[in-house]
Amino acid sequence: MLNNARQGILRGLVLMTLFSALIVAALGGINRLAASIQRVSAQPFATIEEARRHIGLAHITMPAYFPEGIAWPPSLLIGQKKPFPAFAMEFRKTGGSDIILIVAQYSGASDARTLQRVQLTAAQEETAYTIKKQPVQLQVGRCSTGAACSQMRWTSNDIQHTVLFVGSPLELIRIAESMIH
Amino acid sequence: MGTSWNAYALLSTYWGMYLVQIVLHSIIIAVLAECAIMAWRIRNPVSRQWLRVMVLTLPLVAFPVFQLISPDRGTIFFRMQSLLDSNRLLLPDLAGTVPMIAPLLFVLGLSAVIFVVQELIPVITNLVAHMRGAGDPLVKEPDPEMSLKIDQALAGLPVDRESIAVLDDDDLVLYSSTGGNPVIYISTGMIRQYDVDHLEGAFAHEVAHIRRSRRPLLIFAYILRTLMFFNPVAMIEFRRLAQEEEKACDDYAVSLTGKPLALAEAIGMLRPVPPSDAQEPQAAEIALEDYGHDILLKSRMLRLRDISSDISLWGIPHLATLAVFAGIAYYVV
Repeated sequence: MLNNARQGILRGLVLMTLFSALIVAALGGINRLAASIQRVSAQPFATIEEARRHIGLAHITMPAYFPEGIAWPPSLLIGQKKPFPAFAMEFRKTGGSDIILIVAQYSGASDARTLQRVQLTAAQEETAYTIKKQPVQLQVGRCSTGAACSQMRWTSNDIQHTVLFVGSPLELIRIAESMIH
Repeated sequence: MGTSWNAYALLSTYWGMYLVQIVLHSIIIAVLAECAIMAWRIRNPVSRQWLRVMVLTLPLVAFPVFQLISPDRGTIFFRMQSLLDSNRLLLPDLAGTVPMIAPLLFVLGLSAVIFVVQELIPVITNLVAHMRGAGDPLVKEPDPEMSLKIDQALAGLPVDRESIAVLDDDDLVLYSSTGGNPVIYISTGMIRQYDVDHLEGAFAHEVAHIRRSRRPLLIFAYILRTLMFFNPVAMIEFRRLAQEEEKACDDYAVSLTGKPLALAEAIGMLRPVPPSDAQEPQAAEIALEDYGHDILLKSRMLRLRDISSDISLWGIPHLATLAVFAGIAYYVV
């Protein structure tokens, strides 16, 4: 009787494991199929050129200046075409895993903060001024990771730019200056 | 683009994600419950009921718990690593205009309408009728032959003669009220058509309903179902839970009477008679309802004719189903 029960339970566990594997495979298949039919959510890209082709942003602006200690190439290129074109690059510390710089660009009046893994959550100081005749807004405060960080935002040719740097605001200004022409 | 953006905004809110994940998680746990029933060959209706209760409970609880464990579950970064990202299913446009969320909202709306029309209004109407004391007229003094049959049927059952009320109705009617003073209502038509063994089985089945109503699993399930009025999976599972209740009461009745075949025959006599050619054809809705009712009665009859008990499983199927659900549903956003 006890043996029957044990065998029954074991057989059930084996079958349940099999069924669960089938369900996982089915869900994964649906997920991939949906992504292949129409890409609406964000996806990672291998190169900036590939991202440019997929997303449809007129041009993707790269900083020409990087402070010391930032690893190249970017650790993540992520973008989306729908519901609005948006693109973000993540850079990490050399030899470390912490995100130190995020450069994001998106079109229209939408907010693409969802593409930023690290965000400025508490702005302690806000300053508006111009860089090469381009009005910009500088915010200094703390990021979602708890670290001190600063962020600069501006709009040019209907494209919103956000640069977030975990470090000195002076370095951030230099990064932004290298992006504005 | 505008519509898609609105859908994106809706699906990015806490409540939008909750709504979508309730439906997705319901489908997953409903499939897992069926898999558990197949894997462990579960026949016991009470054991099956607990699996159905899981289908009604877990989708409501899972999302808030998962969000508490991992507040970034809604982010793009989590979605990219997920097993199934609902946004990939719901945001694409149909023919370049309507996002796929539109058919989902239509189904949810339809479910809500069915809930109101088929479940909420009848419950309220019955409650009001019960409070007003409306219903079939009662027979104060059944004839001696009927009284004798009732007394013989009740002889071995834990129920008093005072708890039986006879309705003046030629149809086969049997139901019971619960609460402090439960009453079993039976029609004169049923007393005439059923023999003593059939009546004993029928009364024992109602005794089971009264006894089981003291642990009001169905009321708890109905509250959960009401909370998920928009969810078609909850609608189906609640109905199946109610069907399992009938089977659980059949088992209880057989444990009291020891006569499964008599109860099976009594149930068989309740099966709807198909309309003859000379009769007016039935409306599709009534025919469908009769068909569903007939299927349930037939499956109850078959169970009673081939009664067997499950091996002792110590709740392992339920724990395994819960564990698998938690593991899969966490990555379905």
